[in-house]
Amino acid sequence: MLDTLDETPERRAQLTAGVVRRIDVRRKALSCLQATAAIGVSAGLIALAAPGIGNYPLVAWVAFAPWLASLSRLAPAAGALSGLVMGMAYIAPGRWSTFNAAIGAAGYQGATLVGYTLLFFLIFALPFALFGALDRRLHLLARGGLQRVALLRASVLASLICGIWSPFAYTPASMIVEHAPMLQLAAIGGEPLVLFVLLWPSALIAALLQSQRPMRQRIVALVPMALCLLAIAGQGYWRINSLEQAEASGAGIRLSAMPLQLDLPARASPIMLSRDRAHSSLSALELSRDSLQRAPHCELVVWPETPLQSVHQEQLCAAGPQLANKLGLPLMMQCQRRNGARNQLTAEWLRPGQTETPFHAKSSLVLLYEKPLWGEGRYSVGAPGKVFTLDAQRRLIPTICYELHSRAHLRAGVLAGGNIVVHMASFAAFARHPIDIWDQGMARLRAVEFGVPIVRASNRGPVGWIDALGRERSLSARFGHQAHCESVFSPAGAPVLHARLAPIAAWLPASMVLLLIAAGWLLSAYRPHHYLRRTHSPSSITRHNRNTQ
Amino acid sequence: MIQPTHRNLAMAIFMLTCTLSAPQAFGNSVDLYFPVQPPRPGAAQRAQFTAISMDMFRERMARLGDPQLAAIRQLNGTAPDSIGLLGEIAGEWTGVDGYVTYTQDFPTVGFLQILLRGYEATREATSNRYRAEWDRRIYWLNIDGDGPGIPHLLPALELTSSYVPAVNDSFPEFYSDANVIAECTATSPCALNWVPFVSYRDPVTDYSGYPEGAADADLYFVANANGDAVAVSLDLYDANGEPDGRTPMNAGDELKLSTIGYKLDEPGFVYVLGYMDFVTIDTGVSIERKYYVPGQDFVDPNLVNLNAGPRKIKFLLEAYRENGSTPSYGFGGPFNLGFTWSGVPDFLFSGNMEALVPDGTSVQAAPSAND
Repeated sequence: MLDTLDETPERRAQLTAGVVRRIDVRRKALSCLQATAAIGVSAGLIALAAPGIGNYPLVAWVAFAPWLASLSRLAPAAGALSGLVMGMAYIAPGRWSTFNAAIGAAGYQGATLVGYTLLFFLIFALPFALFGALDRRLHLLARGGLQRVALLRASVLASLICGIWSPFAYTPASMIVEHAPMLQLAAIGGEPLVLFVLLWPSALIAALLQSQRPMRQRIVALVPMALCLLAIAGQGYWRINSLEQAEASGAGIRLSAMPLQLDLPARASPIMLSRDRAHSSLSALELSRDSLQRAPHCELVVWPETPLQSVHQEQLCAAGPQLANKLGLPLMMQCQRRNGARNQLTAEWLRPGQTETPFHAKSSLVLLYEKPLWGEGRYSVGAPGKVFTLDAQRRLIPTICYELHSRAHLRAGVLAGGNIVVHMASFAAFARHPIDIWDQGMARLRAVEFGVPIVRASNRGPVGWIDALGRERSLSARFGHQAHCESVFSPAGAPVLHARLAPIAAWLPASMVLLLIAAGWLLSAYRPHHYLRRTHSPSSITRHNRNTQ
Repeated sequence: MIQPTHRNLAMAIFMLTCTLSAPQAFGNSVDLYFPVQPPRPGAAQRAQFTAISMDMFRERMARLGDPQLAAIRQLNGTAPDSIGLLGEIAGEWTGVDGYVTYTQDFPTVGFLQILLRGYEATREATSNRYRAEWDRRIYWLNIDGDGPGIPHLLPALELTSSYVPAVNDSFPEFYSDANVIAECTATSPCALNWVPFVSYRDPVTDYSGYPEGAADADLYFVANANGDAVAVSLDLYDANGEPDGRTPMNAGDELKLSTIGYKLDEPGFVYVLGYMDFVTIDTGVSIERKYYVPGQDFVDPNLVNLNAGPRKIKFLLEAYRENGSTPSYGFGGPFNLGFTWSGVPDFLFSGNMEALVPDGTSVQAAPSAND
């Protein structure tokens, strides 16, 4: 009876529709599972490559491939969700407790603390979500060409990651700071260009994974990219060689600077810095004096950002000129100055015997920590680009902690003639989490982007200096209480290209690729007969179809 | 159902919103208008904190530790009515001190173990266990000045419980004090206690050049065999932190006490907590060894809402090891003693004393366990 019923056309149609629905649901479930698995694999590879977590930077070059491969099958909404999950999976593991500790140190607790930490990481995931939503359109825009799709996806993702504001300037490009030749690209197009090149292999491999082409053709499709990467590496080696030769030949400038390393918790007592007891090296002053006795040739002492309460910092700063007099050398010290009803965080340029003290007010404040989300905070911002002049050749760009990642400040400083960045950092708020390791990677990118060395004095982080090629020339252990005189070299030449392009650098990769694609369209449009000839040929039709698969 | 046109429009608005500004990329100002205010400071947040390295702290303590005193410190006696406190810490250490503490949470700083009394702890043979004896009392400073009737906690660290004044020791002022000579004898020795980080101002000195507008000082007092204070003195430091002599406390002098806190994830540091304003000494000063319950026996306007009765009393070990020029530090515990402050007088014995129950405030523990 039932079999008879199944034979009716209506029933057959119902059954067919049910099967189709079930197949559709199963297909969607499988697709969702695949997408989730792909994100998991990508997140695992990223963690393996990340500094301070896996430390295998080579993996970074292919880490995003599984996710990008899974993304191309998704609708915009599903793509956005996939992007959001990928963004969180890329940034949050291994870093949650670090930023949770810092936001907690700013006074937030309980649900507010968790909420802000989540918001912090969601902002990082935003470019990925946006990219996921746009991805299908990018495929349409590239008209299915493998190389075009890969270039467009890599460039748009790089531009979104670098162009959309985030509270901490970390990007996946930090994973490859050990690959010095590739890093030199930052001198031309900054971190966005490095990130574009880093994402390119992942994007191409993802496209090839989706392609129906024979394996041999897929391998051949990698050749143009490999040749480009080789060319980039060659350019990097050439740049490194040029600067090494300049340094060996005595060109450029040198500075003997003593960056201090301290190990103080938040709310340290001012006597930890200013106490002046003979034959002791427990305070910053005592340690500096003790170390200078071993290095009398040193020209400058740099103290790190100090984790003092405002009232104590003001007291310490009032004693600043005396401290420089006691050391007998120029001293760069972090202070606070009154600016109307609010304070400014300043880098003070204290010179023995000088009554006038030039200073630089921090031009980029840290959200939630130094400025609230809403209204005016305790601190007001200063102007970027202040330069302290040591002599006619040597001009120092003072930089307070996170300000190192303000490209506006570094750009203005370099264009004003600054040729050595002096960085004063404190990582005390992060409770010994590895924030200093990530910051060091980002600092190496900044050095290449602006073609200047960075001298780093640090509280609860390593001290030393990074050369203009982004290489760690001297780096202490992460924690300690020490001071050594470093001989710092700066090429001190004309500003690198990125120093001029910085304001638009984030959007250059996507713009360049889009322009190339538009140029391709125009060329096609102006060669209609040629196109028709090719498309009328049966072999060219077959070739065209194969290319678009 | 969202139409493609609407989706495109929404996407365009989304992109525009996201790409408005990027300070770390270029530019400085970004204002995200969320209706969120920074947290309001509470009473605990208003406390003034400074962290001082344990190296500096011990250097300061060692300054008065002449060889004779150091030798005496190994001979801890036992005051009447004392109970034994037991703690545990692994490893070989140059010295271990035991602190009677309670736990308090300070926003922006975290959980601190607040010092009530401190002793040098004695190791039990070669085990990881260390013991100290506590007479169940806390010292309080009572000043008949601006704050009559309000005792202030003296976080006293015992330097020795076998102090007998000698002509060549570090405390000539006690050797010349008739009370001390009478009370502290070889058969009935006294205890010598140290209370660091006291701010001091006398009426005649100009303190404008001092970092805190007052002289930094340490308070010493001698307690007889019953634990009652019989003499007190102040060790002063100048504006540069150099020792600047001693003084008795006189009418008209001003004092500001601090309390001491230990943060379990910062073993190399001691936290100095300022919670009160300067108080002028009027007719005299008394150091009381009492069982006060703040919030019940008196209300200190500087410690609003503090009811010390329900606070769990704990035993914290702090150990140090001398490795040439870089000493290292570590904490053991804190261990719950099995009673609250209000239960101290009646406490006889608890299995916790031998079982060593960590209070869960170790660095790995969940903060909610801090009580």
